[in-house]
Amino acid sequence: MWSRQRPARKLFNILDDSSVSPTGVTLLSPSTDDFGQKVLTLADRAASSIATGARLLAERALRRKLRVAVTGLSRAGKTVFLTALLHNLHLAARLKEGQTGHLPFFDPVAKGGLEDVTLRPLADLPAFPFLPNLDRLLEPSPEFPPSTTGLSGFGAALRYRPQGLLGRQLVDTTTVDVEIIDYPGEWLLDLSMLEQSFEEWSTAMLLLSHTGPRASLSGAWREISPDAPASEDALEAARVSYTAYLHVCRQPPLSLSFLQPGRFLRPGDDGVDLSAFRFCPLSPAGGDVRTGTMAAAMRDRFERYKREFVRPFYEDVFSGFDRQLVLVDVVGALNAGPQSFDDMRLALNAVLRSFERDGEGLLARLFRSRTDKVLFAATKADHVTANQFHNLRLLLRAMMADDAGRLPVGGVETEFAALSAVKCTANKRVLYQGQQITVLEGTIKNHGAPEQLFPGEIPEHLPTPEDWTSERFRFYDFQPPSLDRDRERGIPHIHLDKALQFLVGDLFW
Amino acid sequence: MNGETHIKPGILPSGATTPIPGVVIEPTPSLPVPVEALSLPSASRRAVRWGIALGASLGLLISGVIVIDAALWLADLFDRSVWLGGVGALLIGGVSVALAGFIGGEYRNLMRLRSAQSIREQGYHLSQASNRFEGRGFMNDLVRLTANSRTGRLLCEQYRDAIADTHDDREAMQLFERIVLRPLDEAAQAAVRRAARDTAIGASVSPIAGIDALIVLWRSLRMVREVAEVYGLRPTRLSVLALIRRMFLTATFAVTADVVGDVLGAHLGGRLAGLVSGKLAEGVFAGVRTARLGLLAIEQCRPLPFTDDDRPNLRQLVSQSLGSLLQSPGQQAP
Repeated sequence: MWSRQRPARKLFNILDDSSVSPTGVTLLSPSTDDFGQKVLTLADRAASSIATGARLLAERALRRKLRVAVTGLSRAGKTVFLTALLHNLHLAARLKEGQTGHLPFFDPVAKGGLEDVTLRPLADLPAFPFLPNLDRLLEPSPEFPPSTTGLSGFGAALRYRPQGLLGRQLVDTTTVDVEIIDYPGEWLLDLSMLEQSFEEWSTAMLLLSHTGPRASLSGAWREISPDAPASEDALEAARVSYTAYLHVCRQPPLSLSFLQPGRFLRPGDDGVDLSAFRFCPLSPAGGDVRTGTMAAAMRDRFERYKREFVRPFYEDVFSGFDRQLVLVDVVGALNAGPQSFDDMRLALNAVLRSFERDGEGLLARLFRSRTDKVLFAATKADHVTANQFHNLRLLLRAMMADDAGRLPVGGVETEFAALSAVKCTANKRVLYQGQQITVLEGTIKNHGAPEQLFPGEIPEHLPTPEDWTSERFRFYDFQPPSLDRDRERGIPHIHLDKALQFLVGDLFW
Repeated sequence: MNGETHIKPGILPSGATTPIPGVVIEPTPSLPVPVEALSLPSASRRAVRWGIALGASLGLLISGVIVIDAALWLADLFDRSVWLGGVGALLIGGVSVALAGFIGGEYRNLMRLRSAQSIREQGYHLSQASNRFEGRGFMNDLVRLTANSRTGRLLCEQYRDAIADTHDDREAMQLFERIVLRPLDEAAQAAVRRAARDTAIGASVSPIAGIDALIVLWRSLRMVREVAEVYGLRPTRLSVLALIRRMFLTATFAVTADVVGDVLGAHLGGRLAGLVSGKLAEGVFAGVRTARLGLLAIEQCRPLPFTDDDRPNLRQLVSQSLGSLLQSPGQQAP
């Protein structure tokens, strides 16, 4: 209230002074007080309406909009993250006096300026299924929501009272529209295809398919001859076979991540025309590619795929993101073993190329990206004890960096974090076999009752061969906790608020 | 950490572990239960009052006996010879000076023990320690200290709710700053602003030179006391004096820019001499001095050191409290 009245009063003073200044009063009416009073009232009204108008105008002009993308390879926990984030944000503005929410490290909440949070679907994107997901988490026997497959989003309008000196002078409250977009991280794997020809890409993929765990997989697509005559049926059969191969690669026990084209696994909406997907790696034809052969047809489809799916994604969607959060299931990669781990590193390197904004980066040469801040986060931090978070972050960085430890993300502010959107475990300090250790307490998936376990340690650098053989990494998945008791305060998490602060905190002055 | 390496990761058999309460991770720092705490102060205050009454009366009795004895002895000496009396008086004077010095030294030690200094240092180290989980005991001490006042207790309860077992020491300290100290800082600064305004007004309207000095002294003492109370220190009269003494000691080392001229200049520009009377200027100076004293008091009483970006700013504080004082006569003058 104080800040509302002050500028109005100042304005009033100015007008006031001019109307009672000796010359002014003499000109208007030298004798009647009544008339002077009327002038004063008029001036007062004019001043207050001008002040209100200026305020409304300032509020509208200062309203800011920000697109934040949340991505990650499948099973990284995007859906849970978005659900928990939206729910906690929504509740943060509705806390009772003296109640503390779960976002103490998010400045607008911590400084007490957050007035209201309105959640609404976005106009230009399919709505993220926030409420159904939330219901699943809030049930008496909660479950993790099913994963999303395509592009979706949800908006959160955060109205707050500025805390800075300047902001307080300008407006009472102002709004930041945060649009949170969820898209499959697999789509980022396709960027490098843009600079490859079909032949180059085929060679690279065939080489990959003959090494490591992929070599053990068979598939009809491997048998296709480049010189065979092309038909829609044959092309469709190739697509189905290759997509099935990619799915097997992704599922346990292989749990591989570097799967191109990433869009084959996550095509997006149901209505997508899959005819551009009708290609697969093909061994080079001996001699020239003749029209009418499989090689020629697939080369066409390859170019069409790039033209109709990869490019539009970067041009229309990706370029509109101001901030991005990349979720990585580091714990899961450690669980899955050395081959899966190394494959994830390959995939992460491909993902990273999408964030290079400077100089010679492929993205910089092809598109203009707005993204100026990227947070890479190791999810499922609640699978390890809190004293391992630091190592988890270091390991994630080591996974993303090249062998010399460099991160090729020029022109973008990056940060690494360990987080968990829903905190399923508690840390307990106990005495065990004569030693003081920190253990986790929580209900392991399909176990029914809470147990204590010692999850072991996360290495701070890439695991050595001995690390893999010593059965060091066995991290359990946990059941989400029952949130009934805590319903008003939101969903307990690990470092969700810090991630939010990094991504959007600088907009709240 | 090193000892943990040879324990194999996995589920621990139930009943194989013994919890270590409060050693490292205590998700809910033990606070006085609200009900208990609400009934506590009255009881403890009564006890403290009786204790003070007993101590004071005993002290009065003993010192009275000593003083009367000494006076009688001195009178006796003066009866015999003026020279003897003079020597006796000198001796007694020497003893009382030495006694005063001794008590002062003892008291300083006591204050040093009670002071927030050690807590501040420990707090500083903890605030630097990321990825460590050894400060929960300290946080409990901190919370216990701060929860002495009513506001402090409410804030500490919020803090207890907000802190999670996954927050490391540094985060725990940051949360304490955000949730508990920030509101307390504001309350303390409000007390300083009030005192600065009061002294400024008092000094500028007092008709006799001696009285404004008294006003400033009395109001400053009250301010220091208020500030100490905000941070849960429960000061006694003597400890306030000791606090002020320590504040002056730190003031000699602290490099604080003299902003008096600055503030006056900003508000009045070159018209200072023409607009304000000498009395008002005197009052403003007194207010600025009080404000600076208040900031020193805040720094001494705050259980954690300020970080650079949340350190209160004297100029801002002064212009907030004295700005209206400076503006109103300036506008009414013409």
